[in-house]
Amino acid sequence: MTLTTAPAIELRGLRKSFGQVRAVDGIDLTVGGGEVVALLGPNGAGKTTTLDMLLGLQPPDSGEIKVLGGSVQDAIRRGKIGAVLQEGELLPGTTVRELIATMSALQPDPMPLDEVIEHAELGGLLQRKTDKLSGGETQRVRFALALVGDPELLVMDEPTAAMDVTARRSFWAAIRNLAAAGRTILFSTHYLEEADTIADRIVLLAAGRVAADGPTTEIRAVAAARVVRFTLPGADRDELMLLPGADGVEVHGAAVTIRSADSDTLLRAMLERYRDARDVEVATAPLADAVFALTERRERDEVAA
Amino acid sequence: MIAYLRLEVLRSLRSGGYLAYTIAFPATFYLLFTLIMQAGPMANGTQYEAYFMVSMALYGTIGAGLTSVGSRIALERTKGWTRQLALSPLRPRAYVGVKVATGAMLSVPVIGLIMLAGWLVNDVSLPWYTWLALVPALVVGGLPFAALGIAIGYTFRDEVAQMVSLAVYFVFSMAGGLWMPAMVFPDWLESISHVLPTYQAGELSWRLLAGDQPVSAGTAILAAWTAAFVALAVWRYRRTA
Repeated sequence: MTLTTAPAIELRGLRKSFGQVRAVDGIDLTVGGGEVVALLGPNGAGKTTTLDMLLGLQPPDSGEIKVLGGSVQDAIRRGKIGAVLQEGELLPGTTVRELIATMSALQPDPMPLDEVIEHAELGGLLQRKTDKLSGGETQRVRFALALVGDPELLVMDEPTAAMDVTARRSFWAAIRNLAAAGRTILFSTHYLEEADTIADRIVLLAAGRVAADGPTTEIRAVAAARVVRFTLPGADRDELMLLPGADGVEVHGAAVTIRSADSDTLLRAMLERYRDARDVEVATAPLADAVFALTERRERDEVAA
Repeated sequence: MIAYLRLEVLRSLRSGGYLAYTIAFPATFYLLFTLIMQAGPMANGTQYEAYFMVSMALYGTIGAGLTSVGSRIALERTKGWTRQLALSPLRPRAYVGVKVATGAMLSVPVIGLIMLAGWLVNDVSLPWYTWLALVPALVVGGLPFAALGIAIGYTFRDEVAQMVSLAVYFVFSMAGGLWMPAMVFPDWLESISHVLPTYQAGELSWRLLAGDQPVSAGTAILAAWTAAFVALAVWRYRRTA
């Protein structure tokens, strides 16, 4: 594997609509060589469409795509980019070994088969028929197919979706090894924890746009929002909005829900100020809520500015 | 690419569908029709057993082209395998080439088996060079149908593609005189038959049996069909691949 000096990925003004739905609505993204980047977002945020366009599987309506300084087709032909897709069956009527060996033979500069098998932990599956694999096993074969060209850039669309906890752990361990050798990795997920433990950088997508982009620690702070629920007779929404750390308040009779990126501060102030608040509950907000809170807060800041 | 071709041939040889449709059906029909119906020689002196041997070998060859090219492409598009292939250095054009080559290679065992049955069971006797010339004549006769298979594969999705291929397969084979000689058809059907690609593909080999050279005026009709199928295939492929 020889490394290219150009950015691994450059997306400029990428747009794609399906009928009336704007799946991707102007995405700009540059990923440098060796970065491990998570594309985080709720379902429908445009992750898969963005990755499909990046991989040349779907043409964008407009925008520019550069992979390793050239076209994605060129990168594919040279085996410089490997991808794990979310869907799609494997070729039936063949064994795992035959399939991997054949796909490897198509590559100009393949990774040695032993290495592919080791990274994807296919040792026990080699003689199995491709149509007799479980979801998690199929995913490991797809991972192996992404590695046969010894790629410099690895793109994965929700790679762990079909895996159980143990499979996930060993999968990410393999990814860390691959990243340690200087490979660039871009993967999509809707689990904040996955993005958090693996990536150096998180790109948060919402409604087809980049809602936030930064080092993992920074994004985690905004994405890891909590919801605080409690009962408060005579609750007043406007008054509650003034609590430190309150990003959004909903009041239904005595039932209050407050969204917060800093639930500790919020709770201290809330319990201090409202002595008669009871049944307090703190939970992790779904990612969709967090993204919503983030975009809402940004709009508020923009209005204030 | 050779590796991919090898895998494709291996996969087909293992599949029950290939063995049944492409090999067992035509071979069984051949034996059944020649052993039950004791027909005399054809008008031009060709042994009926030799004539029908060629018909069924061509029938098998066309089957290999339509199913291992058309239905397979449709299936692999529907199930998402072609997306995976799009991420490998194998170009779509090479993929289509591999499919056509697979179809042609798979037709050889069918041709061989039916010829063997003709020689051993039905005492078909031909000069050695005619036996040899029949193989390429039959393979070439099957190629237009591989192009048609590509067009079907890039137009319809899995089960529909299979149904369309089968329908096209039976209609063309029957009306083209592969199941029974076109000369026993009523006149109107016989004249239709003569402009069909199946009949003209058969003519390449039937003429060899009669000791003529394979190419005749009718070959132009086959060429026209081939050009049309190729154009259709290119158009469908460009639209979808």
